Amino acid sequence: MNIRKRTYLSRRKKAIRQILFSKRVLTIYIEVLIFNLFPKKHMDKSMDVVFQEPERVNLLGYFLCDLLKTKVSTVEGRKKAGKIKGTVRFVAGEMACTATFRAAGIEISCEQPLAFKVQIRGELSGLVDLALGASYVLYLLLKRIRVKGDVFVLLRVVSLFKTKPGKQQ
Amino acid sequence: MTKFIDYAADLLGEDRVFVDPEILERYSEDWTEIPARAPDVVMKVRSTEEVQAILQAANRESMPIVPRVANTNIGGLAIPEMGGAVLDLTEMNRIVETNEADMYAIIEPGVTWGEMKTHLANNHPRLRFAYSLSPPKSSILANCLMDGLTNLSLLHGTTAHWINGVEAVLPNGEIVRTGIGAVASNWCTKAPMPDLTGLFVNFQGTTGIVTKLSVQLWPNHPFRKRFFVLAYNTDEMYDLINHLVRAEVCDDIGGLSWPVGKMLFGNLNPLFRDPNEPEQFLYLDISAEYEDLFDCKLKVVERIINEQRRRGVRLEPPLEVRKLVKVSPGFEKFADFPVELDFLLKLGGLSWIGTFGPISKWKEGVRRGMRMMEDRGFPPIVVTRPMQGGHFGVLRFMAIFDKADTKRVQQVKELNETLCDLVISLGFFPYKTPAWVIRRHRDKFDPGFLELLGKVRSVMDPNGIMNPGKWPL
Repeated sequence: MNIRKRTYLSRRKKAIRQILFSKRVLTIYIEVLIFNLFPKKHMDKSMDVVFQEPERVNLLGYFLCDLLKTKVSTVEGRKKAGKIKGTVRFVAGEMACTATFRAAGIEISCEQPLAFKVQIRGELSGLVDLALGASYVLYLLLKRIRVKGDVFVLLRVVSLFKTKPGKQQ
Repeated sequence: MTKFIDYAADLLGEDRVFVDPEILERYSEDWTEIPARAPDVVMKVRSTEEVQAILQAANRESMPIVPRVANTNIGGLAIPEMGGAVLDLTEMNRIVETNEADMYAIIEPGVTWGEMKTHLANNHPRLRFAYSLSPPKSSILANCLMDGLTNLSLLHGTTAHWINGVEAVLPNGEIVRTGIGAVASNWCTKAPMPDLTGLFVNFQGTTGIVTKLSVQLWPNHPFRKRFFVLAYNTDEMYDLINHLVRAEVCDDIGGLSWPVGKMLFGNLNPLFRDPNEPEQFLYLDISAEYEDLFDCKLKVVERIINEQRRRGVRLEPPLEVRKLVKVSPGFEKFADFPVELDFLLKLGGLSWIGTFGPISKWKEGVRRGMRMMEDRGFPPIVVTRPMQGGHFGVLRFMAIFDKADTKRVQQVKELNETLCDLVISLGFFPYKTPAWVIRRHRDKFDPGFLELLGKVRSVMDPNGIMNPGKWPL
């Protein structure tokens, strides 16, 4: 193995190590551990999904509200939603709306957000498929969806969307 | 009156003749803004012979007779505006015959969409009837006699086109059969007889009471899907419909304006539209007997939509309704027909200007009509459907309102009048025509048409006892 290749591999290992043991990722590990070992009490209760301005909701907003209500109707869904903090923007076709995740619940708004943690953009059919469990990676590769923002928040949203509907709990 | 009621009680039994004001009240109105009027008596009949006897007696006494089944016509057509007797036909609800080989059924007036669907699913799964957007409890026979529309109307026209013939009781008690059933036992076609069935179609019960109807059934294809296509621009959606219609691959195509989508999610009075959200939804029904034909039809639809999108038409790709339901259960309402669109009735009142006319005038009609509704504070609910291969189309403006709010009821009346003036000026005319429409637009009719209609009516019903006030001449 020549020196060049060895240096490259060593740099790559270092980079991976840096990511895996970065403060941010370690925080997530700890959060996940805590969430799984000691689920927060509010996870056992229902989680509200509400509109910020009920009179000014577009179709995507209603759609997202229904979807999130289904997802957080299970303990698993509530656990996953509880891990998301901040605003996620969804753009389907020409429609857009945001879901702001807070400890108390999720608020949906169709106003242009000042900031968002992550944006998921695609055609409505693509987003429906994702909500039904289609592969994000595949859809990203196929360019059926595009994302920008914090990848960790994105992964949590993905995880929430992948929650299988179960009996309401 | 008393003599007539006593006669009816002797004939039917006292348990089927009602004069209790509370019961009469229930027969006094429908969902519309049209003023209520209670009948003097309500009678429930169970056979052609009973209808015959009642009509003979009513004719002798000059007693108004109003036939009624589910009363879901949205035109005030079963409101006894001159009192008299309401003949409730709901208990005449037998499916007399289902002929699988010749694909027809003979039904009585009380047979509902829901019953027919269950009957065919249980006994003749290879056959289907088409279904309308009306509730499952609505009468098929009444729908057929009033040129109703269903999810096979793009292929086969209004339900009146599917009638092979009728058995009807004339006001003098005579019984008549029309269609090939007048001469043959197999009641499979209207042709080649003189079309006397037409004497009972769209006459709104003013020429007699139809007690049996032979109606065509259709093959129940095993491959079937329903899609939604969201269109951001109304005009562009109608261009897409034109392309789809001419490709002849869809069983049904329907356009629904944006408020309907929000109502599915529980917003009963949607007045706000985000400028970036679709103006219209299109639903498409596609079916086929064989999988390869079905795939082929799907490909054609996909191709048409993709071509339009490449040209810059702003459409979302088709969304399968079954998938949507999994994500958003609100869409269940549109997953299968017949359907209880209960969200339309939550405020108590529902009225519409539902018309047939040239699809070439849809764009203008929809644009202007929606603006009129918005200006008056109504959600602009519009339904459009191409019919019979696209030779004509449905244009329907729907208003939902609180029936207890008299001011709103008056606003609905004024809205309907304005919308009606608009659509008639564009070449449309209301189906299940409310009497007020005919009175308001009498001057637009061909005088010869009115004269002939009058002559026919006076021959059929010389004493004017049948549903008086409807189709007023």
